[in-house]
Amino acid sequence: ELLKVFLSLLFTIFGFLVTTVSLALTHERMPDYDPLPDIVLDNTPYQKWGLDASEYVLIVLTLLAIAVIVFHKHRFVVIRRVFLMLGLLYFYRAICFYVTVLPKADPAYYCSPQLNHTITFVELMQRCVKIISGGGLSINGQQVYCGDFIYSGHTMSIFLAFFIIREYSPRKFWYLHGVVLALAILGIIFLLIGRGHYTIDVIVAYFITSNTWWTYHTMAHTQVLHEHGEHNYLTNHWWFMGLYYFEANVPKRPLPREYNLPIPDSLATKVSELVNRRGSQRDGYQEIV
Amino acid sequence: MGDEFFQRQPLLTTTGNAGDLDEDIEFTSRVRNGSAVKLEMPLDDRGGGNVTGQTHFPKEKWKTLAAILFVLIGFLSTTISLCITHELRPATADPLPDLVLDHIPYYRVALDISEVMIMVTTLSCAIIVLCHKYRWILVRRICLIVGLLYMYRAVTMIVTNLPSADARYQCDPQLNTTLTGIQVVQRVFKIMSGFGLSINGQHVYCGDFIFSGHTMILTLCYLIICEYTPKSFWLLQWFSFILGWGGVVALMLARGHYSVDVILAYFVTTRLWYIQHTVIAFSQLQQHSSNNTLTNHLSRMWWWRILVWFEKNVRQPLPNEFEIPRPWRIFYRSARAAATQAATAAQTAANRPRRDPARDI
Repeated sequence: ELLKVFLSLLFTIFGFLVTTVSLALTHERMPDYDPLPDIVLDNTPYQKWGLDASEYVLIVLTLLAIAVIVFHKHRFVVIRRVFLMLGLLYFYRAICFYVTVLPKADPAYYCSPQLNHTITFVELMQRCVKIISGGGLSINGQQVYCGDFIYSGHTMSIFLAFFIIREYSPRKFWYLHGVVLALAILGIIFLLIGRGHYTIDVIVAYFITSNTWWTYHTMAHTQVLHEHGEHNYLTNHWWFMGLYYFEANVPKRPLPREYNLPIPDSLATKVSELVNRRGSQRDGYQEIV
Repeated sequence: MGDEFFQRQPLLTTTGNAGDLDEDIEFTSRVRNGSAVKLEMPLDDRGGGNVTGQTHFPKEKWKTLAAILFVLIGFLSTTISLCITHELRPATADPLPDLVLDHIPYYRVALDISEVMIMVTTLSCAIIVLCHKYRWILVRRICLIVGLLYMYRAVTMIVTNLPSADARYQCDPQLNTTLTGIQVVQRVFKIMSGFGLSINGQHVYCGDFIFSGHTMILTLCYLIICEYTPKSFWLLQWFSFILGWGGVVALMLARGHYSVDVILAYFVTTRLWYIQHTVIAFSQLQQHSSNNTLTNHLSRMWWWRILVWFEKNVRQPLPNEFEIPRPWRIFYRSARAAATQAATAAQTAANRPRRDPARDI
């Protein structure tokens, strides 16, 4: 159902754009105060490499998650779900860091100077392009617009990747799940000691990501939760209609964990026919002999 | 002689079932007396639930007590967290830039108005719960979610400390030394005596911004009133809705909290409420998994098991029925139970010699 995949992709892109515009505007409002007191940041030593290390962890986890999705037999269902949730989470993030702006957690981090005039539309677009080109990561030097603290996009992406890997990779890979969890926690620790975010950002990001993931998947696995009823509160979520539309033709139970190569079906059939013909030819020779 | 004696004993002994009238005991005892069958009717006729054959909702008061303990732990953790947060907060920093606060006028009196609204909505909620027929179950559920919310609040307040949103609010000066245990206890008492409201002058410890307790209570009271009153109470439900919005607007006008605090409080309260009540309503969500695969992800919540334990014996949605609570009935019931027990014992003792041994053969 490629139309649904396309729509979910649009939704994610919309979420990215809103976050980017929001960040470009938030940068102007960021106050020039000292970093706020924070229970973790004030009691751990500062490591300059922390933020970069957490971003490398994030990249590794994201690649693993993408691999899991690509090789999953029902990849389009998974992609739709992930895109819907990503779009949602980015949209929430855009609202959260714009309404109240926290000062920089890391005094040594370079932030572009603020403009002294109201930002024009052209400047806003330029900033958006710059931010998007960096993908939200600071290791490529494009993340020079600050102020996006509540809540942490790094934590959100790390945990989303962890949830994807845990849910959609084979169950017997439990050692992989353990390693991924350890990596995720390490990534968060690096983020905090690099003063990339405050502790509250991490906590709120974990809460929102985990709640959304669990609620979405419980609804996707249970038929009765798709029906509006007096006692079905989960349909009160504003994104319920999106879920209902995307999951309309998906059976309401956990996706079977089946994997195959991401090649189109027609090609896959041809390949298997070829293999079978070869095999039967060989058998045929043997029979004659 | 001995065999006859044992043969004549009743098959089922009548045990005093007045021991705990609150539990619904529906067994009947048969005492053999020739061809006569003695049926003992249950002494408890409260609510008519047994008579009409409706589903019974057991009170399970001990579970409610456990829930009350849970919420007390939540209150205590929030209060201790506030005491410590007060010391850690940046007292001299200016308020943070905020989308709403920077564009609305400031009215100091609006905080009192907001707190009056909170008191009104909490009071109406309390009346609804106390007059509800299944108040013990309701109290349990509310204590669970309130305890959870307060525990979360305790964590979010203390980890990162925001500067005061209202520069003119009178906060107690900070001590420059580490807090001793005694000081913490004193502060805890002071805060608890004010119930978290500043209207009585006890809320002098600042720093509790993320997330907003005022918004949390307003939202929760609205949700409780909407869930546990029948549709005919639409006026009360609308009133609670207006109070909720009014309370939040007044809170912002008084710069009581930042916008992000209000948004987060609304989000956390509504999400937890939705999850709690959907799990209560659907028994599939009280199962962890089926066919060895995890179907119910909500079971990954740390408090899911507590919720399932509380709701194990509540099999159907609670009907919204009200009655005047009569706490004196507990004493009346105990006295009545004692009297009935004495009467039954006397009757049993009197009955025994009257039985004609010849008729039992």
